[in-house]
Amino acid sequence: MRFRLFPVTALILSAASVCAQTKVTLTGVATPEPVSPIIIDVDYKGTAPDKTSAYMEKENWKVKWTLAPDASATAVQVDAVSTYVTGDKILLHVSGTLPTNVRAVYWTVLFSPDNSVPLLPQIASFTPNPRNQANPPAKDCDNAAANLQPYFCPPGTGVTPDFSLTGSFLAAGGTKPIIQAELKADMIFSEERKLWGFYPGISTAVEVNQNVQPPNNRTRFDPDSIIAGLTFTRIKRVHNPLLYGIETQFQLPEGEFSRQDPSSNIITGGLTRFGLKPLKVASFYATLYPLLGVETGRNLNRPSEVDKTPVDLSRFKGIFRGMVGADASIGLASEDQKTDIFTITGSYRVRLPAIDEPFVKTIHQVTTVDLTTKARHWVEVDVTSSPWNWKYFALNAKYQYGELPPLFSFVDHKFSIGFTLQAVQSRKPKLP
Amino acid sequence: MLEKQPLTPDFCLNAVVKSTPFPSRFNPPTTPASTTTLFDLGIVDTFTAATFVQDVKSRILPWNIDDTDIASSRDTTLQAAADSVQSNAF
Repeated sequence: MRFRLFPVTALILSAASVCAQTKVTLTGVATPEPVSPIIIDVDYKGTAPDKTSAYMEKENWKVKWTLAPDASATAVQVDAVSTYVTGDKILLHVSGTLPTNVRAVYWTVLFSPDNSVPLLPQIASFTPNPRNQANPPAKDCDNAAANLQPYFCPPGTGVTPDFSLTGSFLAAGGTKPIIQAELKADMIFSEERKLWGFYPGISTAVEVNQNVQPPNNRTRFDPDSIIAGLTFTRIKRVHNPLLYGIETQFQLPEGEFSRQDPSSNIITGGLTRFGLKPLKVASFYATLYPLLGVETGRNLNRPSEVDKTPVDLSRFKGIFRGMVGADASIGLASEDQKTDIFTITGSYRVRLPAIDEPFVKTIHQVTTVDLTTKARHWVEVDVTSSPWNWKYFALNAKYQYGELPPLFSFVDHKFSIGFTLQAVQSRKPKLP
Repeated sequence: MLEKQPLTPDFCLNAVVKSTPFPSRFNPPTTPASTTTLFDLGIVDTFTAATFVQDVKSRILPWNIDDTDIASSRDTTLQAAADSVQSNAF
């Protein structure tokens, strides 16, 4: 009886072992550890393989390295196999003909069990960072890794470009040609070259002839809104129960221009944003970032009339303001955590001029302009939503209230609501 | 002068977890690194992601790494973020 039970028990144990093994899947990622002896980490998904698993037998693994993707490969010997359960990794301890710098070469790892094991072969690989290579490959925008891409690449679908120049040329009977242009840039010069811990960059927004309508008497370039300035940004982690990080940004110099009138200021300033630790429960999150800032500068141009009302702004020259405010957001992340099902973002700024600045208020079509040090508030709230599993509909709403430089024209509770109803026809025949 | 520590999985995972707002919410093996995301530990937006990247950089010193080489989107698992550090540090 004992002898009859033995093969049955062995069969059951063997089946259970194979069953457990099938739950392990290699992710395709392998990483060499520069330790002695060298270890190749192979990532897996699923239940950790036990000691009897085929994944733990060194004979089932083949490891090779090359100096370049198409160069001749060198095989190394796998001496032992272990696991690092916290990080879901199988560790291959290797020896033999090894490169001087294990992180400067391409590694390919093949799990190839013999035919008696009912498991498919699986492969994992490692591509070195070009910084670790003596002869790095040419950079290409098609590479997924950012370190293998050149400085500029075409933007992907739905990605906001860091640099854009848009232009149009309008020609028609009875009007001179109208040239419209828009230049936008928000770039960091180099992430490698910090200046006292700050990333120097440039941020520009230039719009030319955006409001010119035909017929037009003469063709000219009339920049009607320009914001351009150097920015220095630094973000630092803070070890505090409430605070997570602090962002410090210097802008020098930046222009403040108005589209409605010829007023313009030149401003330099500093801003510190305090990142409180987010509130997070399951998929819901909320953030609050109070901020403090200073803006100083000089008025360059001032209008002689605003909304056909004559004004005397000759005393408006120097600018020095304090700024206090906060950015906040509330969101509900989607199941895959990539996007939000709904987001509410709010921004509040109060500018406190130390020197008299214009304050334009139009109520019942009557415009008044004062030169005061009165606080100027600005509130903006955005709501965006795309409901669960119903991607046909997206809602967005915006609320604005307050005054913005340079003339601090009053915006009185401005709401705008928009929605998008969209679908694709799934059975549409392909037509030329 | 700091000495370069070996870039082991433990060292990189430790740097990644401790750089998040809520490292104590990582509880292996109940919630392993391969299923816990940066969002689970408080990386919810661009500000927290940027702060996370800078803190990871400071924790692995004197190893260096480009900001863009650290996987920091909020749906990234802790293991993928640690792997990006282990693979790209120089």
